[in-house]
Amino acid sequence: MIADGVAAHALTDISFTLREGEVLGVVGESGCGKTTLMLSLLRLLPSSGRITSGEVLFMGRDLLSLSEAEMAEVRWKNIAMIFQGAMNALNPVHTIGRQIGEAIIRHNYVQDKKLVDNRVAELLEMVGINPDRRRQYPHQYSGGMRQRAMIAMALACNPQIVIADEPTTALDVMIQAQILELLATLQEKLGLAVLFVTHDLGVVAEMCDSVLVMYGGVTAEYADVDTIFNAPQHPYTQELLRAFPDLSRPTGKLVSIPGYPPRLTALPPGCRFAPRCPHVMERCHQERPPLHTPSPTHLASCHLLET
Amino acid sequence: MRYFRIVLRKLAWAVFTVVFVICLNFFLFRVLPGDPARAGIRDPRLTRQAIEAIQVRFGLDKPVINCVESLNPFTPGDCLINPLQTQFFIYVSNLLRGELGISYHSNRPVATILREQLWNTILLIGVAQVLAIVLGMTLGIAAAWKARTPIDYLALLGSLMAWSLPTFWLGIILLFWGSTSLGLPTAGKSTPGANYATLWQQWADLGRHLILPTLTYTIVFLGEYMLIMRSAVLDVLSEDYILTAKAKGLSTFQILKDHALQNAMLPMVTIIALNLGFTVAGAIQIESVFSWPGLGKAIFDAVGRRDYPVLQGAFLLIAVAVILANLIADLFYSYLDPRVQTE
Repeated sequence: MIADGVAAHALTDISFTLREGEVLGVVGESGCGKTTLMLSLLRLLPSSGRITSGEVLFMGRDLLSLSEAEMAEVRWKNIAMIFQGAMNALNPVHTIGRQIGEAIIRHNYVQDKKLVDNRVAELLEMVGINPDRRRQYPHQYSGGMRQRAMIAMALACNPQIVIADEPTTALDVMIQAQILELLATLQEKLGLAVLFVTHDLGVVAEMCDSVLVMYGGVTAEYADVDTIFNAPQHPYTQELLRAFPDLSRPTGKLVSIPGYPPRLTALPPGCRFAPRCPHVMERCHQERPPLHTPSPTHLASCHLLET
Repeated sequence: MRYFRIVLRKLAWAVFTVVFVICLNFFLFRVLPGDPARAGIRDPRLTRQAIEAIQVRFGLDKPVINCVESLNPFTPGDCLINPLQTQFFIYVSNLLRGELGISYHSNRPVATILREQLWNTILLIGVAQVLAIVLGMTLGIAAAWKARTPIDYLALLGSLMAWSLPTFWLGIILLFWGSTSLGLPTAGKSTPGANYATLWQQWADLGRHLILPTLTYTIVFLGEYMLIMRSAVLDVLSEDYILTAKAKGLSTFQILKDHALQNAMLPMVTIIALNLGFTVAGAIQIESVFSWPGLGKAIFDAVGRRDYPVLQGAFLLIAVAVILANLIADLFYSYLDPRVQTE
């Protein structure tokens, strides 16, 4: 990734597995590389970004070694994406129906023109939009409806994986809840594997099977949801959980983690969380912690785990 | 139905603007000093009767509009005349019949003069604008697609140069080069005294005369169109919905065609409409350099001769052209961008 004219590694040492029908939550502060990670999975990075090494294995195939044309086949048919802020993710000059139909036609999900229209209507109905509104334009939809339409579009070709990149940002709380419920229902009904990017830990606890906690472009901790919430090993995960308001103690003061996440062009030499870590030691400033495995399904990068 | 109402509202505004322009245009040339009768007074050979005859011929013997004193309710003047006898009403009623008055210089009806020259201008501008729009847009899209590559830089450099060249200078250079090395005609729209055996020969001669002024005009506008198209496409390509389109598996060509172009056309439509409207008059420089018998040259000559009726007619024509071009752009806009319709 080129930022401010300097080459910088936005992401390193990230590894995770998404099983069929699994919901994986990806959490971390803004700017820690969550969206970059999602875009690299689909090879949609802006021209300033490049994947230097690694593998994205999808059903045994490495997506990074596919040709551009082969990759275009995989996009949306196998892996679809719900973008943050559906306001701008829909083209203002085409009808919703046309934009959903476009994906269906592109991947030959159904052949006939009439069938495409039927499929569009069916999809809109599935997300709770009156199918007659497929002939309307995005500006005639409310924010919540646009996000619903975006979800319908993501499901157009019945993909195996849906990447939901903060699907509820810029929506009010009520609509957020509705969208999340819709996503959860559809996930269960269609058996989708979902990569769910968010910074709302409450949503993670409710929806996700496992959690990847990212900090400064690296894995901080990766485990199933129970472990993350009940026995977090990385100080960043612990602090993040402490910063989450507890409904059982409504009078308790809100805690925040002092400081800011590092800029990609000025990463600390040792552990990236060291400048803000409450348990920081001398060696944290010099040495990058490796990924430790406290248990076979649990990854965390912290020197404290070395025993 | 909603579209129909928009058309109606825009149309009403256009008509209102034209009426306003007609009034303004009328008084502008009554405020300006000088008319043929006054010019004649200085000539001792003209008799009083002759001067009066000139005034009657051009309708200058009548009051411009009714006298101002008569509007005062306390001391009503006695100069009130039948309003149908004022210059303003005569002008407006002539206008409704398609008459624009008589040229002070050539004594011919202005409408006849302008009609011939308007067609010549439309021929020149039409060909050149179509060329400039097609070439400029293609270059702009290509440059945006290949942004920050040598192709882009070359197109950018060329367009900036073309845009900043002074029109008359480019015209003179092309005139010099075209007439010496290529042997193309330098002036007018046909070879003087030529006898054409066939219609085809006549058209070929017209075509040869068109080459140099058209080329000049195309180069001047090509740069502008290319630069605007390039930046509009680049702007659109950075939008989120382009990323969505890419994520859907569409190819770069499909993205350009189905998602980028219609949005990028919006600023282009505005510029094209403005240019089309104003270039009816804006061809003055090119038409003067190449002695092309068009509207621009007619305006240039009329200014030198103080031929007010011709100028007045030409101004009205230009104003109507600008208003019409804007009306078309407005309607095309609401066709291109559905968001415009609901406003």
